[in-house]
Amino acid sequence: MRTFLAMALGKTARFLLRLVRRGGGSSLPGTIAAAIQPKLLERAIQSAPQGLVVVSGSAGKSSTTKIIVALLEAHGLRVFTNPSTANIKQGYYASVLQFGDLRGRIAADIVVLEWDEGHGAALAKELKPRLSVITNVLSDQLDRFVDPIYVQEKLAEIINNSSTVIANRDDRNVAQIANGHADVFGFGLSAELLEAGPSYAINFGEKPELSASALIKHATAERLLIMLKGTDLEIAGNYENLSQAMNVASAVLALDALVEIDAELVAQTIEALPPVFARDEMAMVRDRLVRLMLVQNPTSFQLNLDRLPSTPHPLMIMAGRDIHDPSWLWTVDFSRLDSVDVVSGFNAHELALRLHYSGVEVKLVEPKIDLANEHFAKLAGSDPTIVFSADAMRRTRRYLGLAK
Amino acid sequence: MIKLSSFKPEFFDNNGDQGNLAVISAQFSALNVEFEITNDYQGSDFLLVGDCSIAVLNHFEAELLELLPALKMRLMAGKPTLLVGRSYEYFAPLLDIDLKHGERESKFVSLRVLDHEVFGYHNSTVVEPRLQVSGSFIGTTLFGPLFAKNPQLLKKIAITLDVELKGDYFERSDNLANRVREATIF
Repeated sequence: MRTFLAMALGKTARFLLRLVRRGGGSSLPGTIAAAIQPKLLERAIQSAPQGLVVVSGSAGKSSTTKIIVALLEAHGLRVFTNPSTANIKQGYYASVLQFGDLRGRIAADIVVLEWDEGHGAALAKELKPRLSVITNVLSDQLDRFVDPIYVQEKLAEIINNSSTVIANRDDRNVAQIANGHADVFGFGLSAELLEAGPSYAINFGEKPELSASALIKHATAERLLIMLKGTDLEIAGNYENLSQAMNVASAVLALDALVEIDAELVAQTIEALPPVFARDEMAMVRDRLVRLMLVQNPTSFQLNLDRLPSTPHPLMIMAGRDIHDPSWLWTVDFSRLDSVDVVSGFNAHELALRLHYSGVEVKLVEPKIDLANEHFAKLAGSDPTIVFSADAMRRTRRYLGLAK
Repeated sequence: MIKLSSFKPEFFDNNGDQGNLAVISAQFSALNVEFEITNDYQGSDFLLVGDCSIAVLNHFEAELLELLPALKMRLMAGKPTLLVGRSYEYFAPLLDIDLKHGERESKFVSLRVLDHEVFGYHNSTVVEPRLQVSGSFIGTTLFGPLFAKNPQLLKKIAITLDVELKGDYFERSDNLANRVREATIF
């Protein structure tokens, strides 16, 4: 009865909210449902016979989750997942409300969730994942986590409560906590690629050797070659971004632990995948193609900036409310930019101050998302580009009617 | 020639604290003040020890302790120095600065010092002093670009280095910092 009531009220709240807030999400329906039936998520997951797969870590969660979901679906499974960036408890409840029936059951064979590293630790004890993928530990969200060592502790909780673990063998923060697990498989870069690979939170401790179950042998602008448990798997595409290559390797390794792999199908599926929601996406905005880049931490901010060929015009950078302590903007190197046409978002002035000291000219500071977008829309230029944090992305997409 | 130094900046930059050095450099450059950035931690005119992770603190503890005699002298002389975050919390008891701890708070705070408001992001169990100022020696829990957000504090430090911060660049910096201050929610 509680479940029925939670689902009915949550679904109604969701419906009403979406009437007044076009396309926008909200945590309110999930909060209502969770208050009525705290075990809603647990019951939904239990209704999927093949259990729960989780993806957690500082970065790469969304991309990896998307790839795993696509691969499992291609292999004939019905998958329940959470939308990108809705990776905390309220987001899961919202997904159950969206896709579950009034008895809280979901029509899925398996559940694949992206888990925020903070919230996931608490959930792991209750939900006991069948498999967890641990991407990495970065020096990120220090206002929340204080120190990478505490992120390590939280991820260790997820690992210790999972039956099987897929772990980044190159990140000693991950290798240290996964090493003692009875059923762990490592993924990573071959020795030749390691130096150019991603950086992780500083850790001077020992680096245990996890198995090289999925080893990236080549990652170029044309192809990715992974040695998966001794067999080569080749995927066409641009994999100069080694972080993305790592995401693919971990997803394929996870798939291998869950189903019998069809290698050809794996390659076809990954090659057909669109870019993850706004990570680096071209979107039609008022009759012109605009490049949208999501930045969530210093690493992704730097990667995206470095990916820009030069200063594109018009360029708008938006730092939203999700950046609680904007101090980390000072760890990003903006020197490759000459100017920024519009700076916006809740932290617009913080960003403008940072850009000022980087010698980057800022033409307009407009904290209000709607006004900034209106101004940006009028600016001429051949490479319209918006770089935004998650909060600014949501508000911009909603304002421009791009929300899905 | 003014000597500026920062202790192992590649490791002690947890929250963009090296931005403070960038701010001093930018202000000095705008005024054509001659300066150099050096690894001479002991003899520099300005020394920054930024915030760091627990792993970094443990790894470099012996080298940090080697700095202690120089830091004691700098504190006594009020020489331009900035200790931030975990570095401040590590050195404070060794420098006889009595830190009072309580519940961890992670938020923007505004403090009064030298007849000025100083604000920044605090994420620590330290209740007081969150900003210890002795002459131009500063220890603080406030992360990140303290001098960028508080140019008047930087101005006082610069005077100790015989530099008067003024002119267009400083005024623009001050205006931008005021905008940040106005938009900050405490």
